[in-house]
Parts: sequence; structure tokens; C-alpha cells
Amino acid sequence: MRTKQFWTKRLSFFLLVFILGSVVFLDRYNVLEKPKNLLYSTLTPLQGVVYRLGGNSGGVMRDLFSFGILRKENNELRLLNERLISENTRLKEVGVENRFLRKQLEIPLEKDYSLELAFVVGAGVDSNYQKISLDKGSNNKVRKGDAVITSGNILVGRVNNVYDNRSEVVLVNNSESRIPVFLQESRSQGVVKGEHGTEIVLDFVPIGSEIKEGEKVMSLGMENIPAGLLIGEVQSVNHSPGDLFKKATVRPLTRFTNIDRVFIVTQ
Amino acid sequence: MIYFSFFLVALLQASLFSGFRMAGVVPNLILVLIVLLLTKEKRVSSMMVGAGGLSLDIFTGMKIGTCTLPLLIVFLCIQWFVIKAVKSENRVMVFSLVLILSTFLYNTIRIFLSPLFEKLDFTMAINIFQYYVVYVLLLECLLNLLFLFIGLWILRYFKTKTNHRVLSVKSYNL
Repeated sequence: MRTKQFWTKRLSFFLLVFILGSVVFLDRYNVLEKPKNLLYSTLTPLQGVVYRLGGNSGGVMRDLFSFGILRKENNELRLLNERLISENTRLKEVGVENRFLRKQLEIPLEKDYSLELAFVVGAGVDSNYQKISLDKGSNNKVRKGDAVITSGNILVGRVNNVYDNRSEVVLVNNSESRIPVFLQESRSQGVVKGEHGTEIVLDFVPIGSEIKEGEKVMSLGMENIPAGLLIGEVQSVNHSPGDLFKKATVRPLTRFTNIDRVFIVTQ
Repeated sequence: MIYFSFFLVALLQASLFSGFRMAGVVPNLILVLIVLLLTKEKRVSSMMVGAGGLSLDIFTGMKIGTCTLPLLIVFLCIQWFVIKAVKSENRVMVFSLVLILSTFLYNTIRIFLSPLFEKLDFTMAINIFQYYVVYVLLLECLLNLLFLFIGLWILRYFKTKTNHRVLSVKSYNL
């Protein structure tokens, strides 16, 4: 009797190891996409509700604990807003002039992209926030590689996996993320990559190019990522003699942990 | 019931508690649940822990196994400690230590197994481990302990209520 119990226990354990091993192996080679798709179709709406609930309560908690910081931030934002309004007015004028000149020179107008509003339904549980899940998928014309932005045309990541009603987004700070960029003032080009959620690094800037601290980093435009999307600003330049390329740390313009809705650039 | 609680906790960890991040840290509720159930001498099987890990992988959109494997390994490791702890007099203290140890163990295994699931090399995994130990470990342990005590308090509260009800029914019958 005891021996039977012993073997039943061992057998169930080996069965678990076998099943889990097979599932891990199959998922690694994307064989389980269909069952996962079915599961996500059922679970995503529920997860969305729970996530929003957490986002709202978390927001209240954050506000309670950071009242002083919020006050300071509010004053700074008010000043910034005034500056941006005047800049915006000037840019509108420049836009009109740009369209007029393009017409005159017969250059086609810049590509128009269509945006799909999506809500965040889940996020990675790592301390370094690197992935988010959205409630829109291939049913909403979302494709793998599409850019994901927040208001203000700030690039937060790109779609990595697409299901019928759900998509997974790799954030800019993820070590899997590589985006060709240029610097707004010096026009130097390079590649922005994530360092496993800890920071964002601008790399592969040619040694002769200039990098200024504080200048804006923008997407160069590739595949599904339009050019001119804001990514962040140069925080510090790290260059030591003998390096083949210049490097810099980039400060993101949005807090990834605070994102609850985004736009997917679906072209 | 236990399977459902693992599923629910995985959902909460991946969704609700993402909004409650403190300095970017989310409490590891599944680990807390395992320790909590073991404290109450409930039968927790590897199958239940596997189901919890699987749910967490699915809800977070990570490759299957990313959370499941470390959780299972930690569960198998802490079982021995827990059997000893049940007999000890200062159980809360021992279980707190078990939780701290398992938090550290879980994350260490998870980081060093991540090259299996992500595009990551071993050197990078070492850097991430250093970052984790310096910036995250302490806060995560504190958060996990906080949720363990909340869980213990809730269980004790319901136990007291049930006992009162049983006592009143018994006295009525007498």
C-alpha cells in the first residue's frame, strides 16, 4: 500500500515535469499560439477590468503619497505649458508654410497614419517594467512591429505578439528593443536600445558625430515605426577613448509605469 | 478552491497590483500564497503551484515557463523548511524567514533562467542580478512580508468568526 502511494506520488511528479517541459518547449517555438489566442479572447476583457481598477486605486495612492512633488511638478508644467503654447502657434505657421512649399516643389505630403486607441490590460511583474499587454489585436488591424505611442507622439514601444483581441508590447527600455534614431539638434544618428528595463541607451553614434546633453532623441523611421516620434532626451554622454562609437544615456519622456492607454500606429 | 485562489492571485498580481507598484516593485503574491497555505498546513501540491505559475505567465504575456519553473523549484526547496517550521514554536518568525529566502531564491532562479526565454546573455543576467540585489530585493521582501501578515490576519479573523458561530450553535443545541 505504502509502495503504491510512493510510486503514485513519483509518477504524478514526473508527469507534471513532462507536461510542463513539453508546454515550455512548444511555446518557445510559438506552437501554442492558437490555444493562447483562444484563452486570451476569454480572459482579456476580465483582465482589463481588473487592471483599470488597480490603475485607478494605485493612482489615488500615488497622489496621496506624493502631494509635495505634485505641487512642484504642477508649477513646472504650467510654465512649460505656456512655453509650448507659444511654440505650438509658431509651429502651426511653419506647418502651413511647409505644406505650401511642398505643393510648390511637388513633394508628396507626409504619410498619414491611423491610430488605434488601446487600453493596457496587463504588465510584466518584473521590477523593471518592460512589457505591457493591450486589449487590441489583429481584429483591429494591429500587426507585429507596429509602433505604440502615447499622446504627444512619444514612442513607448512596438508590438511584439498579436492575438485576435490582444497584443503584447515590448517597451523601449526592454533589452529586445532596438530603434534607429536621430538627435534633433545635432542630427547625429544612432540606435536606441533598452538595458533590461534599467535604462535606455543611445549607441552606435559615429565617433565624429556630436551629442548634446538635453537634446531630443527621435525615431529615424523604419518598417512600421514612423519617423519623428519622440523617444526621450539625452541625459549623459558616456564616451571613453578607444571606443568605436559614442554612447549616451537617454531619459524617457514618459513614465512607463503610469501608462494606462496608448495609441497603436496601424498605418 | 486552492486552484482557483492561485488563478485569482495570478490575475491580481499581473493586473491590479501593477497599479500599486512601489518604486517599480510588485509584491510576489503567488509566493506569499504558497507560504500562507503552508503555514495553515494546507495540502499544496506541485500541480497547484504549476497552475499558478502558468496563469501568471499567461496574464503577463511572458513565455510559458518564465514564472512557472522558478516557482516550482522554490516550492520544492522550501517544503523541507516548512515541515521543520510547522513544529517550531515561533512559527511566524520562521515563516517570515522562509518567505524572505524564497523571494531571493525565486528571483535569482528567474534571472538566471531568463536567457532560456528571452534574448539575453549570461553577462547581462549577472548585471541584472546585481541591480536586483542592490535596488529591489529589500523592498520586495518587505512588500511580501506585509502581504503575508495581511493574509495571516484575514485567515485568523475568519477562523475566529467561524469558531464563534460553531460555539453559539453548540450552546444552542445544549
